[in-house]
Amino acid sequence: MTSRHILASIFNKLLLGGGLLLASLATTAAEKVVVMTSYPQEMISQFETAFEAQFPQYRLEVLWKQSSDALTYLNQHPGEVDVYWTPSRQNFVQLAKQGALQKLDAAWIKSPTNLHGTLLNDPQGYYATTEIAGLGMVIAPVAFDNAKLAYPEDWQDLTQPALQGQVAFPLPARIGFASGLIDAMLRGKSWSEGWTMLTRMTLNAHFIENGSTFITDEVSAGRAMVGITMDFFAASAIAKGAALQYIYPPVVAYSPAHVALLKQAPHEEAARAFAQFTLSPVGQELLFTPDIRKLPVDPAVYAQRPAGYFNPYATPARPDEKVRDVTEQNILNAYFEATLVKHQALLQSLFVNLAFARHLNRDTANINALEQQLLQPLLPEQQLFTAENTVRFQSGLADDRKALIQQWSELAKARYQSVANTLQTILTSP
Amino acid sequence: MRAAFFCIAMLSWACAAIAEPDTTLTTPHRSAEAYTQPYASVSDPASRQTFQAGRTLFRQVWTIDGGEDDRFSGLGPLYSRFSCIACHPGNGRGFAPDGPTQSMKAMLVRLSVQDTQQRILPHPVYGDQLNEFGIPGVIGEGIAQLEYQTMPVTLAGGEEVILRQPQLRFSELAYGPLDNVLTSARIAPAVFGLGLLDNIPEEEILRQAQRRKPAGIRGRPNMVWDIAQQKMVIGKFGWKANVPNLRQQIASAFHGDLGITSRLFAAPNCTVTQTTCLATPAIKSPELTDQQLDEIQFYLAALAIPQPAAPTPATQRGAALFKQAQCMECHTDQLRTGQQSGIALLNQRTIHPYTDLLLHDMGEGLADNRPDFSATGREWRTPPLWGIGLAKKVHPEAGFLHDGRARTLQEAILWHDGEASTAKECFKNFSREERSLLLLFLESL
Repeated sequence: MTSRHILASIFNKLLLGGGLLLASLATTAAEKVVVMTSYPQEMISQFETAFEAQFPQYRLEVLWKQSSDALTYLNQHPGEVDVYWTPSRQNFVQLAKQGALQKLDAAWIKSPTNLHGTLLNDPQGYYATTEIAGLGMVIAPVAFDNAKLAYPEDWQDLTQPALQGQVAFPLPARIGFASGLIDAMLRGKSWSEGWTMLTRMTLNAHFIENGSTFITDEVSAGRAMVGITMDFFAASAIAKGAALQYIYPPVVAYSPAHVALLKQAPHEEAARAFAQFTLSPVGQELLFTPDIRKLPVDPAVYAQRPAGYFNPYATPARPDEKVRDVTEQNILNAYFEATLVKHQALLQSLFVNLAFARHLNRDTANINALEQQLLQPLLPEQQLFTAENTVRFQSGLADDRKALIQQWSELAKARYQSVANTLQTILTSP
Repeated sequence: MRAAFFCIAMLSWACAAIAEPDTTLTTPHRSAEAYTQPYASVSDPASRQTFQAGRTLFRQVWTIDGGEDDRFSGLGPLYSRFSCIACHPGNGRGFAPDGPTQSMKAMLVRLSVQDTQQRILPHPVYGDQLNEFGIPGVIGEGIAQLEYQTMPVTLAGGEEVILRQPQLRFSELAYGPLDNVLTSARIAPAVFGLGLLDNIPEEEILRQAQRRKPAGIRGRPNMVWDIAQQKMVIGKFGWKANVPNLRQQIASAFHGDLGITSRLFAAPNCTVTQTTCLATPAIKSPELTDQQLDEIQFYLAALAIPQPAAPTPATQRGAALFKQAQCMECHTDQLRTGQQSGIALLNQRTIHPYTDLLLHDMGEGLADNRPDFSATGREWRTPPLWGIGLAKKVHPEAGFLHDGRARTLQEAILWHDGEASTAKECFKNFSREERSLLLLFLESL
């Protein structure tokens, strides 16, 4: 009989009276590991259970923080957190720059340096990708079948007029998971082609400001035929019975999530055990569970993937796979919102009036020119990504940033107003 | 032998009793998402928005104070879990750990003491619930662990079922010993259909109590304190019907499990001896606003009941056996709602929750010996059985009975005793096929 059994026997005798506990006895305390994360409960629960099953000597204690609050907290409370584990590359970059991280053991990392242009692991070894998620399209096949429309295959397919008001589109400047969306949509296209597509897509969009499962809700409830969302949200809904289908376009925006050890980790051994666990085959295969449905970063574990599970390593490489950095993506997202999203109603009205003017056979050349004005980017690419703009988006210069965004919006408004005035003249002329 | 005879004697008049599903109150989903669907009529934009806001709050991982977005802050100082769905995965039932090396992930431990005048009070140091965790700077109260003794039960035909009797123990107690404490481990229940149960008027519960029942079966309401009304009323929620209504149940869980204050529970969940806990400032008060409480209440009230599977000859036979075994004396299949719900759909409806909302003596084996208002240590509220057949589909680890000791519905039945001893004996004496049919009926709910 082990000491644990003996102890249990003592307890049994003490507890014969039902819920009356006569005494409390100490057992060996499990060492805790404090993990800061912004993951949802389902993900945390799965990893907590599996980690504690494999390492019963450790107990996971989660300190939940939005990515926007994490850095401030870590800087103000050094020596409190062991592991940082979350989808927020910019925070890992910043922590590494501050010297707040310790190097991971290179032997733990089984993933390549990058995936289709997305950098996975820190070249210096301070943080590593634990999982990736892809941004693509979720559709209601029945709605497309009923409308006799082909299922979309590429981002461009979301511009077809039959989808007006039917594209649930997460606002990239407001919803974290969509932050790489505009960059992915523009990839492989000229600046002009890209903004033409985005303008037409704006005409169809039903913009969503809330994240999480709201996009799949919109599509499964029939309020949109197609939605742009992360693969795991859609996969989870499908696994639970929703009549949806997920489509990865040729250019997928991948969001990597990372793990890092804090330099001042108070529970060094437990911290190392947890970080290694997230990268281990057991931790990687956990990502396949229906409540999580993320993409493992270790290519080897895809051999165990469930039937039909997407394998990003199996998709072909494309000629232009350069992914913009976080700052450039933030600039793009703010510019998209200021120049298109904010003026959606006006744009929709202008395109309706353009169609009406065409219907009336008015001044076709001028109408085509007006349409081209609306479809062309307001600013050339190089004017958007200036050193000044980079500073505005990287630093805490919130007022400067707001002023710049307002300036873009005014510029767009002026153009649309000018088109509106000309169009009105065309429509009211005899 | 007497019970077996009673079962056989009853057979002549027992008949199948599967209620026709009311499609306005049910969802056809029988998937893992079955417990998360709103009533179909909750479709206007305003209701949908409130439902989604409530869902966000229910699924949200709450954080400690500070940060740019303080809508979801206020966790602790002491807490058990940091989201509602941690204990109600998929809006379903919680579960018990399989042994002492596993932590409690979807259950809690209630605490109290009995004073010299026999009054039941919260523990003076630990309060009325053990909170394993503390926010940084505040030490968690300790760890609760479950260990099991197994005991075989032999059924008619020789089938043997192994039951597990949980035993609770504590370790790493940070605020001193827990001497002479009364404890009660409890898993979280499923959370759909609560708007209907909340709308059961007191007269209906009293009618159930007064209903004539076979010898040995009684049933009485618990009388509990309604904080908002500042008076004693009939309890409807909680394993001992120890909470009067849905709103107080939500606020109580936020306070006890997450350490989040609300208008109903305005003080932090610290006892006077927990000085660090008490000294931790809150950046807002209450931490759960009235609007947030409204939103969660609407969300939970608007969660539809899973539609039972279409009846088959086998499930109809199982239903007849369920009735024959007297299960339906307490797991009443018909209640009538009142007209107090803010959701018009839920007013004046006949529902089939398979509960009478009354307390019943369930015998020594299930007793926690911890009284709760007028409920004794042996009494438990009849839990609703609607949707119970989907429990494992919603979460494979879902447990049954108040402390999750039962891993299957069969184990749960075999733990019944006291007022339910005849029902249990009937079940034990049924043939293997009859037992399977009865379980099949439950799984069809």
